[in-house]
Amino acid sequence: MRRLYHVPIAGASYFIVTILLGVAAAYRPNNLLVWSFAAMLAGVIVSGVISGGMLARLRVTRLESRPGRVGEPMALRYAIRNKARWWPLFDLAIEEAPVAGARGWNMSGRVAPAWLLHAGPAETTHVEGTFMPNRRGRFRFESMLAASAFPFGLLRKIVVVRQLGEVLVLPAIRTLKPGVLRMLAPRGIGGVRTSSEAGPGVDFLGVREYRPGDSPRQIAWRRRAGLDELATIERSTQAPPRLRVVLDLMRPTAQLRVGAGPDAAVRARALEEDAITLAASLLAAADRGGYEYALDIHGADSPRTLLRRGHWHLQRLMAMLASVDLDAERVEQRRSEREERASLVVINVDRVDLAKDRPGSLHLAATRLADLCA
Amino acid sequence: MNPALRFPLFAFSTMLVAIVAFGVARQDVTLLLGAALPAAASWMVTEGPRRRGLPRWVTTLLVLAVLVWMLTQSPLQTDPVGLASTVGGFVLWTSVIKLYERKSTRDRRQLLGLSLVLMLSGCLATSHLIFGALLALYAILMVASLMLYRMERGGERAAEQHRAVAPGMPVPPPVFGGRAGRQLRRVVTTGLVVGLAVSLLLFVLFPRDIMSRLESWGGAERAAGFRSDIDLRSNSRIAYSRREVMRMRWIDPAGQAVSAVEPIHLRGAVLDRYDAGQARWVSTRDERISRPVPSGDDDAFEPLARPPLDLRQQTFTQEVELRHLLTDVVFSGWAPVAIAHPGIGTLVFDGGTLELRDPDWERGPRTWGYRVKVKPFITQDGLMALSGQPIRWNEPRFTVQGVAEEARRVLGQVSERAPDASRLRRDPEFRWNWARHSSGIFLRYLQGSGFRYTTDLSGLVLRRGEDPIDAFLRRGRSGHCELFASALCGMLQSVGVEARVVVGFVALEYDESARQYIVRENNAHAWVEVRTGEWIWSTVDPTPAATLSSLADAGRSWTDSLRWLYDGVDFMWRTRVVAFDANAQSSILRGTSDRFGEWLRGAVTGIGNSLETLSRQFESGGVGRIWAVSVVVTLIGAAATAILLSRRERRWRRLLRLEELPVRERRRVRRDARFFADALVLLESAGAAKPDWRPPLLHADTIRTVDRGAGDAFARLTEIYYGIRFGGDESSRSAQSEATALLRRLEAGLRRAAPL
Repeated sequence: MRRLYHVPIAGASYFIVTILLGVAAAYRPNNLLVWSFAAMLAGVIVSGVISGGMLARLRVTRLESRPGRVGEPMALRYAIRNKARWWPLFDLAIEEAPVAGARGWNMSGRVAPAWLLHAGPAETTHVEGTFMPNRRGRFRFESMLAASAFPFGLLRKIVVVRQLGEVLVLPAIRTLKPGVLRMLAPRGIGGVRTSSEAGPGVDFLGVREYRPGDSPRQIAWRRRAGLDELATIERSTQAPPRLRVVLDLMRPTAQLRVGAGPDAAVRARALEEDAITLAASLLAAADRGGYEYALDIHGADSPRTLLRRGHWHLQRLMAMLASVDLDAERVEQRRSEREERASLVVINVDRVDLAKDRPGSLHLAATRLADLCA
Repeated sequence: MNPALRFPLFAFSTMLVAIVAFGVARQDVTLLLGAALPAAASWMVTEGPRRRGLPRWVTTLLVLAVLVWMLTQSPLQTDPVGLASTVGGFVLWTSVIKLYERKSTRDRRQLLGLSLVLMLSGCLATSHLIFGALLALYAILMVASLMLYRMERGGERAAEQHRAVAPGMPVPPPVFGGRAGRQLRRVVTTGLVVGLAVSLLLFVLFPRDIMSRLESWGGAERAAGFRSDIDLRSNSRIAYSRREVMRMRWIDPAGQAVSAVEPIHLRGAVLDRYDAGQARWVSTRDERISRPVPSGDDDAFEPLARPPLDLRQQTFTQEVELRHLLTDVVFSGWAPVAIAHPGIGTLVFDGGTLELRDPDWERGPRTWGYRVKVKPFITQDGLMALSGQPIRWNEPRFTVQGVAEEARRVLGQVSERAPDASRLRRDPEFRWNWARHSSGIFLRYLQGSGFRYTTDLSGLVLRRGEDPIDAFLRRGRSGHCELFASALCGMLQSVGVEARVVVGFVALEYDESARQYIVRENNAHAWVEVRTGEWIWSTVDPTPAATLSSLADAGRSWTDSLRWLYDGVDFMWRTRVVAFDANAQSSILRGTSDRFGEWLRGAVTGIGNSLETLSRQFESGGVGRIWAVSVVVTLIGAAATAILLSRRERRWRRLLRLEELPVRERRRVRRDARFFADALVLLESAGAAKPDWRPPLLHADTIRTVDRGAGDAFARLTEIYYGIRFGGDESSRSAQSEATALLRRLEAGLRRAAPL
């Protein structure tokens, strides 16, 4: 652990006043001035002893955090262990040290340091800092700075604790306007359908022998008329609607049509992020609507996903979207030959590529994000 | 409870103590009450049920108004003390105003800074004991306030940063562990103790050579309450203070401590010439009849007379213990014949005036006691021996015309007139008779009803060019002992009588229980000595004894019974703190180094003797060497074992978290549940250490994924451990055996499994 020292303005003023007092005490034969000078000098020594004792046996660990989301604050948790047997800890701030490079957390947002008022000797305490990301992606933490100016604020002592870590920031999700999903999903063969499994549906699936406990309403009385045994009508369960979202990022950023100007690259990148946001919003809306959904990302090295539903499936797809590296070279995707019964929504960044059109697919452009979202 | 919540109260208390201390330093009761009471009341206003406070613009206006008022009343001074006093006054009223403001944490920090300025101003103004006690209290409160401020400010800053990053989100509450208040008190106490020790060390070691070379600030004499001259234009001598300046035992020739029939005049300085231009009495010392009086290391008396006088007859012993006096004068009654002054150094004795002085009192070691042999009824031969040579008659001249006229007028009232100077010069007998006669006339005149003794001289306003003695004799006719003595001496000198003013103390108050006189500051006194013989100077005190007694009794109150306590503490404060100087510093350091050197020498000698004894034990050839080696090996082994055991003990404590338990419980768990610590150690060495945050049973599940047997064994060990630690189960032999077997299973399982 490395230690750093920082003298704040209050501390510098204190030192200056102490020196002046020393000069005055030497000039004036007044022992109370000498006492005052000695007391102020002793304050410096005591401050060093107390703060040194506090931070000498300090252990800080950053706990693993859940993925965050763009625009939503996420908690960074730390476990602070005071290994000292006698010294308590007071007024300790934990902040993340900036990381050089594009993948540093400081490139994604701001962090409010965690603050600990007190931890007793041999106590472990947990505190939280707040990270507000404004970009999606995977970001690194390298080291933490544990700082305290206790007891008198004369000197700020900083202990650098090295601990590598990573946080995944998921793309932002925006709420779609009502009816948008219904408009997208029933097109073609992705709507509600009958499954081949028995369940509490209304469609006829078949007849089977009666089992005690079957509802009398499900007994096939007409069939009974011709037979001596009872039979029960089996209904099929409803299969949820299905939606496959294809995010087309094949076209490199430089080839996007965003108009000319010095900020064309910035606008192009923003458009790509809007496409990702639209895809994430669609998937989140599909999850809320009970759909089965899947995601394909053309241009990125990510696998084709199966149509599923549920929290973990959504998280996986969000992680895929978060991990898309728009600076990497675009990867040519092999188009799947297998047909599936699902609505297909293709999200394009700036324009539709008709060469990739499939029958029954619906194309959306990222520029329509604001229109589609509430 | 969040200890930082107490910060407002501590900041307020610190400020209040600083205000009171400043008022005490200025010794101004009006200022003290006028500032302290509103300051104390501000707490109810700003922190009471209604929590009101002045808006900032109002306080700013008030502060500006105070500034303007102070500048108009007391213009800026160049003297550092005066400047500090002015600044202190401004800061005082500013602080009182700011106490009524609605305060944030930063405002309270400002108040702490202002309080520091007040205390520093007070340090420059006084060195009184009560101020010192308030300074100590202030230091304690300031240390606590600063620590609380740090915590309060830390929380505020964290909240501000949180709101900047995530506006609209609730700010996380401060996190603090158990017993935060108690632990903060512990830190404050440690800080104060360490700070006191360090500041004491720095205070003792602070170089004082710089200060001793500079001109004294008058601190020494002011601390003494005694001046060896009389300045009639100032009344700095007159003091009501009942502070002790010395204690004196008066021992009769039989060796018994007794009280004298009359008040004892302790002679300090003899002043024989009046400087009319400055209205001062000064001394014209004849250095030819001064001689040194050496000091020895023992307590023996050094004779002042040559040849030495017989000290067995008619000789009293005066034992003096100084309490606050810091002066070069050695006080003694009439007439000193021998002195014992161990450690003082060489004194100077004036045979003509019988004064004793310590010329090196500022540079040499400080002393607080001496003994003097005194012969109140000394003979002419004795005085001759003390003087060493004849004292020539100096024709006295008193240049204040008004005093001479008044003297002649008084003589005329009794049908007398001043004789010719030539006759006085020619006829010594006539001279001495005239001295006795005229001193009686003037004494009766001054002690008559026309004169009044008072220490309040506000009624006597001097006219331009008027002499104070003249004003006293012809207009005021009321004054203190200096004026009475000056008038008597002046009148006598103007009619050709050799007279001199003596300043010192008069011992009146006798403590029967301690059998000693207590001399206080208000016992300072001036009287006259008249030469009434070749070798004889008679004491003539124009202040009646009854007046002296009533003055001594003035100011006596019920607090006198407690003064012994206060005076004792005040004495220590004065001698150990206020008067601490380079001499005291060097004597402490010398004493410390002497004692340390003695101890070190003793230790080295002791070690040498022990080694010699030890080597004699081993001098028996090869057997001795083997014996020595085995002893050394045993010692090393014992030390290593102790270290290993200690490390293991610490490890167990850490693993089992024994610090959280009371001492008794800690012993029980350590004794009965040691197997669980062994299990954790096994896991650590196998690379499967249990993280602190993970419960043991959950960790057992993790181990099961690589080796079922090891996981089951660890789970069972955990259950047994829980029973002992939390269930209060006694550890039976069967449980211990089971634990041992489980440990073996765990070890075997971990050996089988791959590292987790």
